Amino acid sequence: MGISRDDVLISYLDLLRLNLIATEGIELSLKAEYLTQLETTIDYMKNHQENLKNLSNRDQVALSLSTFTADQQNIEKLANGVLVLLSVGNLQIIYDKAVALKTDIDAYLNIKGTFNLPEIDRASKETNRSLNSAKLKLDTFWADALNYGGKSGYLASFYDNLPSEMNPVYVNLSQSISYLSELLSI
Amino acid sequence: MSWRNENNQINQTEFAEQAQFLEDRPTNFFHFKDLKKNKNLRPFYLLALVFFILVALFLVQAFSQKPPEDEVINYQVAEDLQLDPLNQRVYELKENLKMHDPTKQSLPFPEVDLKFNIN
Repeated sequence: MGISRDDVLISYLDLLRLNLIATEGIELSLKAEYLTQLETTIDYMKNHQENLKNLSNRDQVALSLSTFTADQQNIEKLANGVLVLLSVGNLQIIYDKAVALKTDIDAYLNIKGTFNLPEIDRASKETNRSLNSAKLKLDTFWADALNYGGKSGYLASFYDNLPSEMNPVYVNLSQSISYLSELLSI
Repeated sequence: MSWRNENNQINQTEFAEQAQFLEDRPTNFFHFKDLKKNKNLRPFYLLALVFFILVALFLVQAFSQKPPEDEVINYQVAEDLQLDPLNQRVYELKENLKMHDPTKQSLPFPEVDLKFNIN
């Protein structure tokens, strides 16, 4: 049971580690801090599992399991912190791509000669407004995350409010993409 | 005398019912030309016409119908070809955003007993 539990946790934490490495939109200092914590925890799990396999005495097994419980009290908080970083990081990537796309669409409309049309001007301003609103919320999140730090458990506590806190950013980005589509269809 | 001999059975123990009922085979087969002699052929022609129309309709439907999957694939290919690079980027961005909805969590913490012990 203890060995199987370690297997599940090692696989899960490794999956989080790989996702964290692959996600580009995360503040680098937070990313590095959480990667270190994940790797340390994975190493601990592997050692604990090896230790359990070699034990034959019942009392020793019980002691090893108790030590694990005491040492890994914050493992779920660590995972939740990483999940917050992944979620916000992915929204950050979409925001960055939307800004780059807006610049390219503006250049295309200038070449086409339709950039100054009233309906295009309106859609362009709406796009900028919703993108700025998303940027403001994302910047506030990163600033708070950096100020409070990863170790204080700020991100883990943010996890429960993630849907309500990040939904406005999602809505802003969704509106921006709709406006970008509108700019191309006019 | 000869007529009486022909009708007389040699085997006197055989009953009349057991004797062959039709001795002569029919010599006249069906010929289409004979139908012309029939005065009321209109229902026959009408039935034949309806039969041919039904067969023709079935064949037309069978050849004109295409598998629905092919139509869907062709439609999608056509749509992909029509998207220019900027529209393609907008489409990809929209799909990417759908995948990263913060209200949906694809990697929740596994349900394991962290306080498990054998005692």
